[in-house]
Amino acid sequence: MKTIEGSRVQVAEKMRVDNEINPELLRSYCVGEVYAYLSRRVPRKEDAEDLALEVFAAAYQAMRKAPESELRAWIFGIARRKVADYLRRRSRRREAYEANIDSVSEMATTERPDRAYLQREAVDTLRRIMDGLPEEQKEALLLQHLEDLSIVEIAVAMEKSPAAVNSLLQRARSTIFAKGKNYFTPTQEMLS
Amino acid sequence: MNDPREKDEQLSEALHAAYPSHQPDERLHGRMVEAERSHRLQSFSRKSGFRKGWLTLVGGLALLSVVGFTAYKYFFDRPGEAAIALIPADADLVVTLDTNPSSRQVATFLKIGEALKREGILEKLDDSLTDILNQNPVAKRIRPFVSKNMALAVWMPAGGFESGPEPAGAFFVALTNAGEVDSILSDSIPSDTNQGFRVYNVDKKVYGAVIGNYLVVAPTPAVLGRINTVHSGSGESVAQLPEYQKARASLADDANLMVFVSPEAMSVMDKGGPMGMNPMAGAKWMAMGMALRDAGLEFTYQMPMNQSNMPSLKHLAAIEPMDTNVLRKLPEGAYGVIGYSQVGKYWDFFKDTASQDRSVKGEMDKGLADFEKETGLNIDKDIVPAFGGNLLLAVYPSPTMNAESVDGVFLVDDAHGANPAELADRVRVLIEKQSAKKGDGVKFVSTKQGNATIWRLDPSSKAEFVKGLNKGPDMGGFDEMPDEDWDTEEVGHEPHSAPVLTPEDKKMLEKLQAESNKPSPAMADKTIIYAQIGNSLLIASSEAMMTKALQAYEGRGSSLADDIAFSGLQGRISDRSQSLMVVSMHRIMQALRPHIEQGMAGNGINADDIVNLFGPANSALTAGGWYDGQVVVGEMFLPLDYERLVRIVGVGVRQGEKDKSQESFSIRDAPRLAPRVVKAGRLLATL
Repeated sequence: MKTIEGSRVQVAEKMRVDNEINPELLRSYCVGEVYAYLSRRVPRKEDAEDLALEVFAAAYQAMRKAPESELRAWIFGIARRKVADYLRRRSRRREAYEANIDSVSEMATTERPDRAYLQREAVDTLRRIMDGLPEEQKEALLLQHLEDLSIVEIAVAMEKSPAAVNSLLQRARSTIFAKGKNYFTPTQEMLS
Repeated sequence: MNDPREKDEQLSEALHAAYPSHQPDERLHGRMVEAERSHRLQSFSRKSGFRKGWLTLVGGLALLSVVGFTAYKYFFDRPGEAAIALIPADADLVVTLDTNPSSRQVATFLKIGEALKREGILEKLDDSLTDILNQNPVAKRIRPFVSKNMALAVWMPAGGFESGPEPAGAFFVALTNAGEVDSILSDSIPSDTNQGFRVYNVDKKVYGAVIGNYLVVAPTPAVLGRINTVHSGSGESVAQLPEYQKARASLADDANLMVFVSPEAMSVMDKGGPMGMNPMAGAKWMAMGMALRDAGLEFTYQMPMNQSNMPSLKHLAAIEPMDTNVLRKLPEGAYGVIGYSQVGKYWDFFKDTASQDRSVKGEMDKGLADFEKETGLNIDKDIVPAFGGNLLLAVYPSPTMNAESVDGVFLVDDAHGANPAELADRVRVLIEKQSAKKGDGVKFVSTKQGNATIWRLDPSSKAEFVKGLNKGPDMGGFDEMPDEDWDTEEVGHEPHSAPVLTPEDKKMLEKLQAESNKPSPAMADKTIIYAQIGNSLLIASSEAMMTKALQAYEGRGSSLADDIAFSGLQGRISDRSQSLMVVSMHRIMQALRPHIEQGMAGNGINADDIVNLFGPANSALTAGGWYDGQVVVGEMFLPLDYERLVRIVGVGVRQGEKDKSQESFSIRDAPRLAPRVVKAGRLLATL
């Protein structure tokens, strides 16, 4: 598997120089970061790969029209729309949840049984809380914590203003820490 | 825990655990490469804002395309390949030529372009073209809009290429301004629009149209109609075929010349294959590509070989890849080396294939039984297993510095449990026994050297051996043949009588025979000598060569792996290769230098250019190949110094200026050339 050298932001900047696309970098980026994003949201590996291919094709086709800055966020915006289309088509969000829970459970069995139980409970709790969040709050939070997007980048990807994204994140955080107070924080302490 | 930053970090950690990601399949990258190529092809063939048009072409335009090798403009599209998106899916042969350099070819194209300019070749070609074009005002007007990228498609007649009717063909030349060309042509050439697009009647059986960004020439308007249907999106193109896409993916992205043969054509060509089997028939395309690289030409090909049609191919698919580390066991300084992995399996393949025919099997079984009876060796049990490892044959300049002489080393190693050393013992005993029966008395004697047991001819056997090598071809005797032996009853040949030799002729013959029987200095040190090192076997053609080979084998001297000429091997040959060939062309040319200098004297060509034509000392011709159970894949690199090549061509062109009777070539000939291209394709397929 090819790896991308340099930071994610630097790589994104190099994907298009002087309006010329570097397809090799774009491919590596889609196979790496974009696929990771998709695999967290789509239950089947094959579907995630197909979506990564669609994102690559769409980005390759339209990259010259992308905004000068925030190329990375622009690609995530495409990926986000592809996932939304996919979920709309399949209406299987529950399946996604279950598939990921399964994989987490498998991972946990390698730990000590008590720790595995606590970890699984923490994960279950967090997933339930996350699923209870409004979709936009959840998406903003995931983009920030899992994909390392800045608030400005999230704003580009979600087509919102940075202030609106900030507000979504604040509200998501306060809900999570409030609802997960009894489970989430103590569990984390025990796990750490 | 109340620190917001700490809480955020814990939240991140928990989210990563709750939403894990995983790795994609490794093929995803390849799928993206395909998607990118497909997009490029589609976008090129459809980006023209101009619709239909045509061109009538005269010879000069095709010549322009040939000169395309000199093109070095910084434009990375591949219009030759993009034409495949216009070729109907039932085409049997597709050839493309792309002369726009890829990013890695820019420097090479520049170098070639400058060399051509320096030698004045471009200027001369331009003059010739101008002369031709001045005779045809239409072609002259179109010329600025014709690029040097092209494609050819050929359709096999219903009964196959040899069924009688000529194959249909279409020739595509990429245009830089299709609308302008269409406009020029419509002013000058009669046309009709019966098919819904403008077709120009250039000549008898030569029709043309501007379709997309191409001038397309075909023998009938119907062929143009089908191409136009594909262009409009109503018909399937070759580019859309998944099997074609796989074949394309096997070639370099920036291959300048590509040849593809369809599964149907392969099937027809393969009729009458060995034992009635048609291994090339199936669903796969044959593909061959050539790409210009800075240091030479890179060739790749894939040839379908269908195991279900030829089960014996399973033996070839089972051959382990060649271990290139084996080069560490041979000394440096070779002219060339060829190597095979598990050659014993080729025998299994041959035997299984031949066994498909009952009569052949009967004869073969009898032959094998006779061989075993005579030698005591069973091919399947004794010989084939001995060749289960790697086999290398290398040719060297003689270590005794005899310029007229070369030496050979043959290494059969013990990889995969093979034991060629044991077979060597049995063969040696057999030779001694058989020669004793004939009264020759060939004997081998052994010595120990480190871990090696060396076997060599004893002094009297060696003397006989050298004498045998020095005995030249039998020159005499034919003058003593009775006259009737010269008559022949062969049909179509006139009987002829024995040549009448004058006394002078006889003297000359005797002299020649005496010369040929003189001991050759090149053969003076030759002998048969082999060494058993563990289960491996090393055979050399002279004592000095064996000494050198043993040093390398035991790690006491530099090996081929350290050899500057062989240094590029690893990067040029796939680690899947079941066979390899590396030839230091530079070293061979240096050895031939005295002859080259003598031959080039007075003809204007610098001998240095010939000697160094195939690159510097660190370059070599490399080739490798393998069979993966579905296709035979091959790759070859031919080192080439383009500047020297252009200089040599320049001398030729200047000399050729004296002879102006050069034939001109017209693009009108393109459809007519289709059968020749088909033959070339068949030759490639056979190869």
